[in-house]
Amino acid sequence: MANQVKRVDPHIERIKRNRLHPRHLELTATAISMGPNGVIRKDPHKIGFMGPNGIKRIDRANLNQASGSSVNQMQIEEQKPKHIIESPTRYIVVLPDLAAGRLSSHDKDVLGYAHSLANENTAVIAIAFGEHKETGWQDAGVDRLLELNDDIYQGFSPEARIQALVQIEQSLDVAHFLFPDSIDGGADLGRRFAAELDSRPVTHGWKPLEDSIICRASAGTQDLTKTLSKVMLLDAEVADPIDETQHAASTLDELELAVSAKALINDLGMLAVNPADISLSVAPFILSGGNGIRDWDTFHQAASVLGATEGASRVAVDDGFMPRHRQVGASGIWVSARVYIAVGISGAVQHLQGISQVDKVIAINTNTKCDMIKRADLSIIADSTDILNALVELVQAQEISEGESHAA
Amino acid sequence: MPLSQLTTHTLLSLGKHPLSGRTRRAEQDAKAFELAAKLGQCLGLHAGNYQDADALKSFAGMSIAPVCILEIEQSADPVAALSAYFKQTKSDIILTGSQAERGESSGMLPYLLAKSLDLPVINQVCEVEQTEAGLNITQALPRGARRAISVKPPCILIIDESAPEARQTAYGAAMRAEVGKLQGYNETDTDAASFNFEDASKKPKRMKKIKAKTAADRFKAATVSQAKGGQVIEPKTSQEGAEAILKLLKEEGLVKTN
Ligand SMILES: Cc1cc2nc3c(=O)[nH]c(=O)nc-3n(C[C@H](O)[C@H](O)[C@H](O)COP(=O)(O)OP(=O)(O)OC[C@H]3O[C@@H](n4cnc5c(N)ncnc54)[C@H](O)[C@@H]3O)c2cc1C
Ligand SMILES: Nc1ncnc2c1ncn2[C@@H]1O[C@H](COP(=O)(O)O)[C@@H](O)[C@H]1O
Repeated sequence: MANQVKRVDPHIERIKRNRLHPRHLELTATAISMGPNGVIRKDPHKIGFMGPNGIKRIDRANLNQASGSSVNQMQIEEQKPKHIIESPTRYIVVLPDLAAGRLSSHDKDVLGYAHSLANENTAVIAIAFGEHKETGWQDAGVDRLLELNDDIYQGFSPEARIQALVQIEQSLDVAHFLFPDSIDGGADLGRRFAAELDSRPVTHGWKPLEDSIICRASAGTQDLTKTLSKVMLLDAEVADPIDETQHAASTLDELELAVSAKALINDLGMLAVNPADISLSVAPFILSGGNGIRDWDTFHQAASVLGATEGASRVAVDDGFMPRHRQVGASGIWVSARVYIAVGISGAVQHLQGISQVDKVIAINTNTKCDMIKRADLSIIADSTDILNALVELVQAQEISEGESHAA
Repeated sequence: MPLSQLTTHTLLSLGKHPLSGRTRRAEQDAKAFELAAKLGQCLGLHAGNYQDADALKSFAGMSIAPVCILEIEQSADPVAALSAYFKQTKSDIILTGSQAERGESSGMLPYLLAKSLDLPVINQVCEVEQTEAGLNITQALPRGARRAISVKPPCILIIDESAPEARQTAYGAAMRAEVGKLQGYNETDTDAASFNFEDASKKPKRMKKIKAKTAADRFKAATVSQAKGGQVIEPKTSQEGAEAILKLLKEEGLVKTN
């Protein structure tokens, strides 16, 4: 924040106005400019200042912030080159999973692959079925965005989605429909659509060649080269994601879809799952206890109130407080949670290895210097029992007030 | 009122042990067979060559239901044969695995069959329960989540990995079992004739790309560790600490907000 504030140094301003001042040239020269290819160029002759012994000094670490310009603000705005397709004649449609409402890295790889198939008149369309929270369409390589979030597309609604895709196929000149071959939905939707069009799809495509693609076959033990097909299901890392261009992501609304609500498959909604039944390696939310837990009853209570799956460090397991199949780490289970709360765990390498796939780590520890805090996104320096008790109270209090507001 | 008796078919394919390469039962199809066991009268069906009867005995050895081969030529398309079979023989539920262990293993068979028979198909099924209105199905989603779905038979169900484990085959029962034989409808799969399988080559590990524009940035990327080091709070009261945690959990949607 601090370097956002403009500070004007009147002394330097005066030197800049006075062309006879010995430091005038040094302060007025613009050392940083944009080169012809959009690359930032620095002129080494123009930056820096004379040191006390007459030797030129360049202050790369920016320690001496007052020198240089009088307005102490260096902000080079990053501008990615724009990739605009005015009137496309051909389309490539990508159906991202939007697992958890956002583009996954798998989705972004597929978008990257879509651009490797595109020529200058091809627009990449992304279709977002249902609700989502994604905002970064432009940076992910989406030229046109079609958001279909009517009621009929919510939840598990393959029939409505297939109807919509068939109508898109009929009304636009689509070269390929690309799906991530993933259990988050792409594998199913893509195969349904391929069967609907009666076209043999590329499945588990992972290595693009000139006009073909290598696919995994025999349940992943063999390779099979297939020519590019209308419907393609692609593995993660099939291509690099887009990150150097900015795309329009303009809405595609010239399309009229008439999808009827007739469905043989009824989605009855999500089932409540006991967090203790979820396998530790895939659990989305883990509360993990180590040697710093003083009161295990509080720990178990906190896990059940928060709805978290329980994990443990090796010491907690060795001491008999937790079963062996709850141990997280190199000699235990490798977890992939979205949030991992480490309570009284110091963060030994063997433990940190096991949580390398975790998105967000919260540490509760009394020791500010332990390694877990270096890994954590949020650290609370306090006693484990106190914090767990406070958490339980807080959640229960909110549930009560929620119950009241529902009753009202 | 007793529920009406369902007829089910389980589609069985030949498996291949991932390391030894030995022929075995396909594990997913065995799970489907296991699930079929509690749904009523069942038949295990394989479209292929009768020479594979010995390998299919491992399914018969589960002592769930008889196993039958719908005999077709090597080059014939199993989808066409199965579709012709089911047009004559009605089945309330057709259970399949999600991916075969041999060949193209595109996982398309259940979807193509559903299309040609005009049946609804549901994937990632881990539990099936018969109700008066039809079937209640539990669908296994990633990260241990479950969804309830209802559908009226006839339908096709694709089994998920997380369905209950299949029982083992009993060797004696497998050896004693007779594998049935039916004449299948032959329609040549022309695309498949040109398929050329090779051993899977290794996927290279994706490298971290450094896209720094200036030398100073490249230097920084090469030397400074990417450790972010998050927010550290030393709360005055434990209440304050708990609130900070809860705030993050709500942002991630793991604790319901009010
Ligand atoms: C070959 C090998 C394999 C291993 N595999 C694993 C593995 O898979 N998984 C694993 O976890 N370990 C593994 N280990 C052990 C690992 O090296 C560590 O010993 C272990 O992870 C430490 O567990 P801990 O953090 O719970 O205990 P400690 O290191 O004792 O840490 C306890 C932490 O709790 C804090 N604390 C203390 N009191 C409180 C309080 N009242 N409130 C809050 N915080 C408090 C302390 O500050 C400290 O940071 C392995 C070791 C070896 C040699
Ligand atoms: N020849 C076959 N006979 C019977 N069922 C099969 C055959 N091939 C595949 N299947 C079924 O279809 C599922 C998916 O196979 P595939 O589409 O070939 O990957 C398998 O798990 C089997 O249940």
